[in-house]
Amino acid sequence: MQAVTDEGSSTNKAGEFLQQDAESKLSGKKGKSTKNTHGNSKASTKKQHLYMLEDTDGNIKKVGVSGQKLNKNGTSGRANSQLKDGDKATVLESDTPGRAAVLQKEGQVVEGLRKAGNSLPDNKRPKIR
Amino acid sequence: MKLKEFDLWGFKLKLKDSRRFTLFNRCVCAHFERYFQPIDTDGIYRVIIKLSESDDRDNTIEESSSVLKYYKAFDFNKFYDLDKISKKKFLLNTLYDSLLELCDKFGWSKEPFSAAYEMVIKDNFINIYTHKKKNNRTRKLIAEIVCHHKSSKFDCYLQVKNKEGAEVFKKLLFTEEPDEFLFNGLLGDIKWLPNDVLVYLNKGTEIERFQL
Repeated sequence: MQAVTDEGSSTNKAGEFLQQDAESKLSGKKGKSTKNTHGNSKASTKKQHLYMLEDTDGNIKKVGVSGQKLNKNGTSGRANSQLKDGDKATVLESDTPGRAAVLQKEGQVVEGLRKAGNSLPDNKRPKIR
Repeated sequence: MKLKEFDLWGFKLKLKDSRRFTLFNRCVCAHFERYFQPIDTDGIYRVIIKLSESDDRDNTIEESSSVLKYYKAFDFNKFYDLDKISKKKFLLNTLYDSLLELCDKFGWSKEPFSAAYEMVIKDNFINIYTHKKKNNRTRKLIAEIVCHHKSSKFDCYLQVKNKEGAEVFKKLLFTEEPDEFLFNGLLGDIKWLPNDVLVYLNKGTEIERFQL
């Protein structure tokens, strides 16, 4: 993991659920051309980052992903745009190659945090397949 | 945006206790959601009642990411002393009373909330429902994915009945913690093949097939 911008125990809380083999599982796939691929498409090979928002009580509000470039100070513009008074944003991982890989990691982190007792009030529930 | 999701959250509890509280209350909130006719709101799809013994923010509202949070006082000691069915009633009443207060604040119609509340009471908090239902090609057999959402676990069954309604097959597909974040992704689909072969699928992938 890299580009962790905000120091704090919460980074480890989420970080421990990251599985590093996710990248290797998916890196073998041939990426489609990004010319006509939407950034939010699972087929997008654009570099992504994983972020986390915490509220004033220290509760994790949500874990999200974005394909936007990080700010020069290492923070996430996408995460910052969702901050309310007293909230804190943390970049958990950056430069993840491809949307599918970062979504897989997001799912693992969300499931792990949820099982650990975090409510993740601003995270959308997984869709019924 | 349609309002259709409801949560009760013991946000000041330790993570372990908060998790236990969430797992217990999901069957009540999900039962309410199932009967709730979604209403149009000004950008809200979920309401979370944030419960604590006492907080400066009690009776105040916060909003972020299209989720509305309403702080309410909650007597956890009283709740823990109740038996299982009384706990469910206590939780439902907490949810319902809070939502009625929000109806007054936001001008929402109370009717869909009352209707859902009454149906949960009518079901006596037994949250069992059919997720998918398919007839076979001769229409002599009906296959169903039936969900049992309890306070302790979520059981998903595959059941087949004949035309007369008699059960001819039943199989437990999976058991999971009663939390949509964990079981929603496991809920799949069913498909009949020729010669009464029934297939259980998830995300288009065959998981198991059964010869009836």
